[in-house]
Parts: sequence; structure tokens; C-alpha cells
Amino acid sequence: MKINILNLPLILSKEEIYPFLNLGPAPGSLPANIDKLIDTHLRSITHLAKPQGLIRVCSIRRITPDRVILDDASLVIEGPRTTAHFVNCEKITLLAATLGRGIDERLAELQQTAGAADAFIYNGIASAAVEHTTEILDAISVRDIRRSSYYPTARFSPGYGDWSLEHQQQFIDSISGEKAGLAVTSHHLLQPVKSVTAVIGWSKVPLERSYDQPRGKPCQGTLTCRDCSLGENCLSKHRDNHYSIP
Amino acid sequence: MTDFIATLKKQVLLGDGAMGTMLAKQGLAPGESPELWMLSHTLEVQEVHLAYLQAGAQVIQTNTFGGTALKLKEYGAAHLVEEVNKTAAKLVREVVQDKAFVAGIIGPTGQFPAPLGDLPWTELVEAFGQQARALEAGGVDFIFLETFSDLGEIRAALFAAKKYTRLPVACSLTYTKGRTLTGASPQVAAIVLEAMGADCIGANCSTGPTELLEVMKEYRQFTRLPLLVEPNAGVPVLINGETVFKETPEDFARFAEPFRSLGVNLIGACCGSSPAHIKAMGAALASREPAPLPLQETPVATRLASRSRALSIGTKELPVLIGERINPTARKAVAEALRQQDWGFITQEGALQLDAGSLLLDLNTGLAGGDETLLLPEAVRQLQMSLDCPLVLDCTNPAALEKGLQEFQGKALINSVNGDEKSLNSILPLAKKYGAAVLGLTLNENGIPATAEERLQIAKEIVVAAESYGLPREDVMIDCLVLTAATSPELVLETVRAIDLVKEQLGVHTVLGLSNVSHGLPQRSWLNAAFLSLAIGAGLDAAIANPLDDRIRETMIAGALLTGRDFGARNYLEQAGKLGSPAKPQMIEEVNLIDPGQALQKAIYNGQQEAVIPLVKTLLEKSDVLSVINKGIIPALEIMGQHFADGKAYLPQLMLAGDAAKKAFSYLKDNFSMQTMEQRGTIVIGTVKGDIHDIGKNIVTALLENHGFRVIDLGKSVSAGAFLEAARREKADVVALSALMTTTMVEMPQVIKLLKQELPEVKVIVGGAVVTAKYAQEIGADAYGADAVEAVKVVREFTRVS
Repeated sequence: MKINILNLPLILSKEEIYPFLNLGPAPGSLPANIDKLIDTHLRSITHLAKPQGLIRVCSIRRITPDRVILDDASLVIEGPRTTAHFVNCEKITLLAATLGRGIDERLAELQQTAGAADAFIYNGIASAAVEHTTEILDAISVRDIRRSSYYPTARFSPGYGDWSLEHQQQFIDSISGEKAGLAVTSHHLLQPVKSVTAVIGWSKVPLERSYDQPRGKPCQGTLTCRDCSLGENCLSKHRDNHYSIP
Repeated sequence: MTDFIATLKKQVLLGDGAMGTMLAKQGLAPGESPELWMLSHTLEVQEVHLAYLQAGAQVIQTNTFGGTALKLKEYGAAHLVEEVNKTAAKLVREVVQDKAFVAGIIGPTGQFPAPLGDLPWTELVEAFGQQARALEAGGVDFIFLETFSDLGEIRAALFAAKKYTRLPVACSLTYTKGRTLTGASPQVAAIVLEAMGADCIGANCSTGPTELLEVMKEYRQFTRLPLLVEPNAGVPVLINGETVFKETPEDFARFAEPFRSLGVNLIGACCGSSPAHIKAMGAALASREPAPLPLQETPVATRLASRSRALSIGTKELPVLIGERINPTARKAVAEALRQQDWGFITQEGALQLDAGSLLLDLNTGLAGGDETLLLPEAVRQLQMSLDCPLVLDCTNPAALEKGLQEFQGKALINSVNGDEKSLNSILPLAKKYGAAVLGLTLNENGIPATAEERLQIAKEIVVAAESYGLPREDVMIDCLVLTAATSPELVLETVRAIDLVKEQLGVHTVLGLSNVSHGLPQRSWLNAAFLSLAIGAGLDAAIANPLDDRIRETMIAGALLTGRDFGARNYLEQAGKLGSPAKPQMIEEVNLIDPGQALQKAIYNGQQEAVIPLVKTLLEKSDVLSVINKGIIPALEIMGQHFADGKAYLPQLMLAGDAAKKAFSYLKDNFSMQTMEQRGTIVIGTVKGDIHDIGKNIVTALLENHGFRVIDLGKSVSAGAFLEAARREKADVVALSALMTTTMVEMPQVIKLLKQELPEVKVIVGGAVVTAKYAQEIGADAYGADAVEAVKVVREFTRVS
């Protein structure tokens, strides 16, 4: 079982952060005081974060109509709608990203001691940072998949679509999450909170997507809008486009 | 065949296109190693080469992208490196003979060098070196490193190809949104790879020609090397069951001419392309004449870089502050940290200096009794992982320096070399080998000469020696050295004169280790700043000093403006705004004259927390607590809330205003009886059991408090029983439930059921990322808050009724 563990750099641009601050449709540039808060917290997160990634490639042993069973890993991809995304796949890349415990601790501290705006901005930047880290792992995996003449599926995470979050523990076990300090709460949530787990399938054929990659905050872990838990709460400006692309 | 690089400088050459998809058409199955498959399918591979040659390609690539031992090992074939690479080179040569150049392809290993992964530099260099040697033996014209996404890895591959072969080396990275995966920009790549000896640089794969056009523009600004580009022709998509490449050869070919006119001399294609793409590009090129290089200003700036940030030092740039504080000889705390290997302390020292305005960090690990060959590389690893700045490796031990240079994945400045032959001959080759700039000290085996002219002479010897080792002049900087004013006050101005002479006569940039001037004297900051001022007047380009000393910073900023290096006083004005004392008292005085009620509204609206309490105090002189709340605080929040709802203000603005209002409320609470305050109702709030996300709930809590509600925040992962108990105990008017996950929002109906049973008069409002109005209705909630402002609105409705 080969698991790649990577220490990743964190070079986050403000453009990557804005979508995570729920800025909404307000016009014009950000007021100077908000901009300054973003600068301060971005610097602090860049210094404090210890972004790490884990990557493991598993062969698929068997695919039934409602589950994907992997070779030599306890993780099961389960749910008929989720499974449908992987029917043409021969392998699955498992990936996990985390910013480390320090960020969670600092956020908790800010919530106690600083204003709500500080905690909110800090939280938004940290979310953008873990997304950025996941994107790097995604790109590394996709590069390997394409170079092996397969086609990557979109990234898919437990808790999205009909793949229950209850599989989170198996996920962490299958990727040796403890190597990057990852654990799961009794309610199946990742600890540290600023962490992501996801799978990418190695398909033999190119795949259809129901939407183009949105520009701002990326759609996470779903190939089609109907599998996204956000549903009508989706804030993406591109949401309407999702349905219009064949 | 003639020399590849010489030809490339005279003529635009057409490259070839994708190999993988072409081999798949010939029968290569997904998951198979294209390199191993080639050994038994030589004719099929040659057919692909021939197709590209016939399409007009003048550079044909070997099928060796995965030809390192590290990659072949995945297929149990690490022992076949020689055979694979030699065979691949021969197969191309047989096809092209002397009609095209043969590019020996080396791709990334799929593993990561330290500090990203755990692959040591030496192992990586050996793996790339083995493949490069085999390709050379097979007869390729040049080594082509392509599709690299990490600057550290391509740097090792370039080093290996240069070390183990005599061939020219082309380096190509992939970019997404203008950066490589691990954060290098084209500017940084150009600076680092050119210094390491690359003969041609560029980009391939990535997203497509449009994005790579921008990448090429940036390259051209920072290097005069020949450029290459091989964009993707798009990834295939499935439309109505058909595999389709979105870009046609003709779409793609439209970019050939724009690339040529930017000065790209090798133009090919990557994934998704075919001989048809190459043919179309050839036809689209109006000429094979290379575009002329842009004019270069002299003297050329000294360029340094970290893995992701570049820095120019030069006569037309602002003078640069180099942080001096990581030095165990000068600072006991640093010595202790190095002894304990307390890297947290060392990186914190670095961060402090960067925050204080230094753009480079001097790193000295010369600890008495410590092993510099271990400490320096480890310190480099630690610093470059968490700080984004070029490093100045302050080390004269060649063995330690070499290890440090291997680890540093940017272009470092070596501090230092001097006029002594021994120093020149041990340090300069390292600078060339690892692509670093050097700082030359004007001293030699006889010590520091007294006069400026003698120092100029040593500087000249250093520059000549550096050039003889192949370093460009702009990569040599000179420190004219200063003796302490305590013993040699008459010599201080000699240093200043030497700076002037060195710059004028040698055209190199100057650095000065500043603090020595004040050695042994009190109030060192006075002397350091005054001396810095004199040196900047003589044209100093960078100072090694303490950036935490305000005098030094201010002198740098002011000196830059006074010597004409701060165009339009932009930096001065920006820094003056940041560092100057805040105009707080003035603002309050100003508002006192007008209407303080209005002023308080304005301060809260703008989130100016520091202005709030003085304004509240002023208001209280004329009116009571309730009117402060109703005329000062609440209207500001209402206006902000309305602006937010109308899309005229951002959420963080709303929250900042909320924080300012909270300040005002807490002041009032602390100073006046609670009775006047508690009249808006009590809300019990929490995130439901199992959910540990609470940022949304915290926003609602803050806004409710800002509006004067009494809020009992139960925190996160709160059970139904705990909600009930708190609601009963606190006599709550409203209970607010939050959940972020679909998996935890199912807890909401349980809480609602219990509350409705036990406390039917209490209203329940729900919200959170995945909760919808429909769901709220389904589970029997009294209301739904789509966002924090709406939640407050709903709660106000409820409490008005009750």
C-alpha cells in the first residue's frame, strides 16, 4: 500500500479568497478596513498553516449498482447515484488535505477573543486555503491519470450526493490519515475541521459533466447539480448554467 | 545535424504534438507503460514520429516521458532505463535522420523532492542523470525537460542533465492560472532556470494556448533565452455520447503567429493534438524569422527569487532591506534556538523581519560548536517552507554552502566571497553550479584596505573572477565594507566613496552590512541610520540591517525618494500612510463639533471600533442610554443591514459594523444598570448535535447581540435536551438552531419536537448552509433565516409580538 505524503506550500491570492467570504453581489472594491483585515489574517494563516496532502491510488475490485469496492482498502463508495459516476473506472485515487491543527486552534481562540468579523474572515481564508491545497492534490492526481491514458472524473467527497458521511472513518483508515494528523468525530466529521477528503476515478472513457467549472468557488465533489447537497441554496452565479450545458 | 540552440536562435522551429493519444490509437492500452510498450512495438512508435515529421515538425520527441528509474519502477522495470532511453532515441533518429532535431524527453518522476515530499535531492539528481546519459548515448540533440509542475524537481533535473551530459537543455513547466502547481510564476521560473544554466525555457500542457500566451509574455520580460511553447489542444469531452476535442487544428493554429511575434522560437503542441494540428500551425506561421529581442536597460538588475517570489535589485529599483537578525554570533537567542533546533523561533524571526519590510533574509547558521553542514540546509528547508522570500546564504564554508544551495529552490545570494584566491576558487564555482548570485567583500588576504581606490581594485578582481567562471556581471554584488566609527571614524566616508566608485566603474550593484559602523558605541541606531543615509546618497542598492529598527526603515523609505528611486513618491506615500501615526484623536475632535449621534452612526457603519466609546461618552453627556442605543447604534445597524440586503455592502462590512456596535453595547452594559438594557428579548442559540461548524451561528449571535438582544450561545454540537433546559432556565423568547451539513440537519426536527412539546410558546428559527425554507416548513420550525440579517429581522418580529 503506497501512500504519498506531501507538505504543500500555501500561496493564496486574494482572488481565491473572495468567493469564500460570501461577499455577495456588492459592487466596487472592498473597503480599506476589510482589505486590511484580509491581509493580516492571510499572513497569519500562511505562517501558521502546515498544509499536507495524502494521495493513494487503489484498484477497483468490483462495482455493483450501488457500491464501488476497492482492493486492499476498507473504504466503500456507496449509493446508487454516486456509484454511477464510477462505472467506467478501473482505479480510484483517494486524497486527503489538511491545514493542520494550528489553524483550528487559532480560529477557536479568535472566536473567544476577537470580533465576529475577524473570526469570519479568518474562517473564510482558511476554507480557501484548504480548498487551494485540495486543488493541488487534485491537479497532481489528474496529471497522473491523464498521463496513464485514463480520464479523470470530477472530485467526489463523502457526504455529497448519496454517499453517506458515515464512510469518513473508513476513508481516513484507508489513507492512513493519522500520518497527517487526521481523525473523525463520532458524527463522522473530519478533525481538524479545515480538512478535505475526496476521490477521483480513473475512467476508461471521457466523462460528461452537467456544468462547466465555475469561476469562483468551485463546486465540490459532484459531477452534476442534482447530486449537490446545496440544492437551491447554491450561491454560484453559474448555477443556472449548470443546467443548460448538455 | 547542426547545433540545436544556434539554429533555434536563428529560426523559428516547429515541434511535434501529443504522443499518448497517438500511441493509444496504435494499440497502447490505458495503464500500460508507453515506454515498455515501445520496446515491443517499435514500428508503431516510428509511425507516430514519421507522421509528425511529415506534418512539418522540425523537432521530434523521444517516447521517454516516464523513462526515469523512479517511474519505470512502478512497472517493475527500473533496470531497463538504459535500454528504454537508448532505443527511444534511436527510433526517432532512424526516422528523422538529419531532417529534424531529436529531443530527449524527460518528464517528472511523479514523486516530490523535499521539502514537498521525502525524495532527497541526490537521489533525484541520480535518477534524472541516469536517464539523461542514456538519451545522450542514444544520440539525441538536446535534453527536453517537460511537463514539470514543481520548480524544485525541474531544478534537480536540469542540474543532473548539465552534470551528466554535454547537451543543451530545454526546460518546460506547466501552469494553471499563471502559476505552477507548487506556486512558481513564469518570472520566478525564468530567473531560477536561467541562472541554473537552462538553454531554452518555456511551457507546455497547461490549459491551452490562450493562457500560455500570457505565460510567454511574462517569460519574455525576464529572460533573453530562446522560448518554447507546446500548449494543450484541449481535453476531450463527451457530447451526446461522442468523444470530442473542443479545439480544431485551425482554432489552435491561430496562436502560432502571436507566439512567434512574442519571441517564441520552438512552437509545438501537447495533449489532444495530432499531426493535423502541427500541419495547421506550420501553415499559419507567416515567417520563420525570430522576433527581435526587446531592448535591455543597463545596468541589468540583479534578480533573485524564492520558489514563488522574485525580487529585482538595481539602480532603478527601490533600495532593498535585507533582514540581519538570523545570526547566532550577533544574537544569543538565535544561537540558543539553533542549538535546540527550535525552528519555530527561527521562522518567527524571519516572519517578523518580513512583516517589518525586509524583502530578503540573511541566514547565518555559523554556531560555535554547531555543524553548519547540517544546520544550514535544515534552516533553508524550514524557512522556505513557511516564508516566501529569497534567501541570502551567509556562509563561507563551501561544504555547508553547497548543501544549503541544493536545498534552496530559488535563486539565492551567497554572502560572501572576497578577493582572496582561495575564497574565489571555492565559492564562485558553487554560485555557477547552483544558479546563485554572489556578494563580494572588498577585502583579501591582507585585510580591508584603507582607501576607496584599493577597495575598487579588489571589487574589480572579484568581478573578473566571477565572469571567468561564467557568472553574468549582474549576478555579482559588492559590499564595500565599513569599519566601526569607534576606532576608524576617518574611514567611514571612504566606504561611501567606494560605493560610488564601484557602481560607476564596474556597473555592479552594491550591498552594505550596515551595523558594523556602530560597533562598540551607544545609541547604535543613530549611527546606523545616518550612515545608511550617506550610503543611499552614494547609490547603495541594498542594506543588511535590522528591519525592526524604525529609524532604519524610515531612512530607507525617505532615502529612496530623495535619490530619485521612488517614482512618483508612490512607495513613500504608501508607507507613510501605513507607518504614520493614526489620525484617531483628530477624527474624534472633528466629530465633536458636529452631531455626535450622526458621528456614532457613521463610526459604527464604518466599523471604526476605536472611535465608538469616546463618541458614546460624548453622547451620554447630553442624553440617556436609551437614546444612545436608539439614535446612535440601532439606526447604523439598520442602514448597514439594509445596504447588505440591497447588495450595496459586503457581509464582512456588516460584521465589522456589528463588532463596533457590540463595543458600544458592552460599554453601556458595563456602566449602566441591566434593566434599561434588557428589553428586546432573550434568544437561545446553538449548532445542533453532531455539527461542529459554528461560524454561521456565530455571525447570527453577533448580529443579535448588536441589536441589543440577550443571546445565550450554547455553542456547537448541542443536544435537544440542552436546548430545552436552557430555553426553560433563561425564559427564552426564541430558540435558534443551526446546521451546516445534510447529515446533521436531521437533528433539527428532534429539537423542534421536544421544544413544541415542553415549551409551546417558544418560537424556533432554523438556518445554515444546507437548510432551506421548504425544509424549515417540513420540520415544523416557526421560521427560516436565509442569512444573518434575515434571522435578525425574524427574531425582531417574534419578540415584538411577544
